[in-house]
Amino acid sequence: MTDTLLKPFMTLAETAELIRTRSVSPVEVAEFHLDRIAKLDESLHAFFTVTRDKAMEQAREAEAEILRGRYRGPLHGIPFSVKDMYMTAGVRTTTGSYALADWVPEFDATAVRNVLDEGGVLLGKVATLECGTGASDEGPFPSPTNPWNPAYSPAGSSNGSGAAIGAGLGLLSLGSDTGGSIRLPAAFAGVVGLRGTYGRVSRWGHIALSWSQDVCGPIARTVLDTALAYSAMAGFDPRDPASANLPVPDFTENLSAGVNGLRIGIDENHFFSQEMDADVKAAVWEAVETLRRLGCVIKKIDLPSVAYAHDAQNLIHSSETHAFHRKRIISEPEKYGPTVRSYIRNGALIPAYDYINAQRIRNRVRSEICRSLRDEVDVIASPTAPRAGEKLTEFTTEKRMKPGINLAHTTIPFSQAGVPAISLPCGFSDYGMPIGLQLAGRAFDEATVFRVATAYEQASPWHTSNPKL
Amino acid sequence: MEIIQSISAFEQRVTAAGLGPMDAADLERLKHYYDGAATISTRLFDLVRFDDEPATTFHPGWINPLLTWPEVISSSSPGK
Repeated sequence: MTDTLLKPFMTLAETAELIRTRSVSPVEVAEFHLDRIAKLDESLHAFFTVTRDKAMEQAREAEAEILRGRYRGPLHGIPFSVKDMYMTAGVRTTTGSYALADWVPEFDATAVRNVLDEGGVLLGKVATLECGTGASDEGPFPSPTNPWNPAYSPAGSSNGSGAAIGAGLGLLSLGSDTGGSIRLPAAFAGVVGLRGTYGRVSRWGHIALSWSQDVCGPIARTVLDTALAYSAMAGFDPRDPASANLPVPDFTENLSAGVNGLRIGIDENHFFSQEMDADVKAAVWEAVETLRRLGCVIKKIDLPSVAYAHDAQNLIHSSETHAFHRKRIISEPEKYGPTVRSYIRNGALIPAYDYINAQRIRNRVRSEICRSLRDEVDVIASPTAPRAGEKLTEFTTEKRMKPGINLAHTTIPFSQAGVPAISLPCGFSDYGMPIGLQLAGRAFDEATVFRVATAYEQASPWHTSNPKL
Repeated sequence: MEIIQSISAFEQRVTAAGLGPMDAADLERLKHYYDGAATISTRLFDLVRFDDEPATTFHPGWINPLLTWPEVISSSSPGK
């Protein structure tokens, strides 16, 4: 009977309802997803480590609890994966690098622990670019491929999370985002990813990349699934000095409250430039038109400092990454792949005054965005990426680090501002790859971002499209 | 950050930064990243104005954006 109820690409919310009503058991759900991983991941390479035994043990515990009448909530019995940048108790945490290839932490990162405490079932650890920023093929594992086309990359650095959710391997994946590492893989895989407000989700137990910009967040199939996961992940944690001591609302509460009168900001000069692919811009304009039809007011805005965000990011990111890795990059450089080794070493050659000036420029980017979100609009819309896909052979660190219209051109400014930004599907390119719509909102106002994203998702068909695997 | 043309001068800079010896391929790759960052540095330096943040008011809000959102902090209460 289970075979008729559990389907590939079912959402987290749909599966949770089946578990809640005891129509399926967490054990059946875990087996279903582990079987899909066994069948599909040999070619997809989304997973670094599959924790089958642990998952089945957690699923049996969830089943027993639910049968005893203790249903914890919508994540109870839900299979999820974790980017291999998060520490996981008793499960190796490699960061995609030989430098940590055999490291088994003794504790869980707070965000992982929060999901486990809600009853989540850990399927395993998924791929990351090496140390969250290097190449995807210079560490101990092969590069993940894009479920929509194996010749294409699922971007990065949460490439395993995007690939896994895009392929329907698990119902939720915990990713992390410094300059776009949740939103870009979500966009390329045709699913939903949220970078929340800086400080909303604890980073304790997540391997650092760039302290002043790193955030942890979810990738899932729909906006509702993402909101359910984010509600579980978020919360104050005194072990993370940037953690916000603020109440966490129920992010699913007003998802369908409508968007009538909400103001959507569009910066044509910087987020729809000539160098971006025409089909991407057309799909995002169509999405903006849909929001207008739903009652939103579309307003033009101007964020000129955004043009320098990528430059500032380069110096900040390199410096902070070097500070974190310095001891090991000096004592064991051979354990890092050539790409990330050079990138991390370069941070030592950036003087303090350049780092500080880059932060000053970043402050200007942040001020412009926050001012616009305070005085002009409720949400800013843009493409998530300037193109819909990138072939694996073209997804190189060198290309990512070039100034100009870089892959993270529209995601970096919101990382620097520390405000929440979501990516959700809004169409397909001429060559059949998914296109992402990015919606960014005010600090700690993820609720409005979720509300606008839900309105668009419900008015569009894209989230119902699945890759042929 | 200055542009360094000569590879031997660059090697000295790398050694002074404590990065230790490395082979020619690594040195060349590192110089590629360095050249990119140095170009960026020049571009950004031209943008920074003295009146961006008067010295007496500059604070590390960029390290923790929470510090620059007083309207949020003033309404703070314990998290879950």
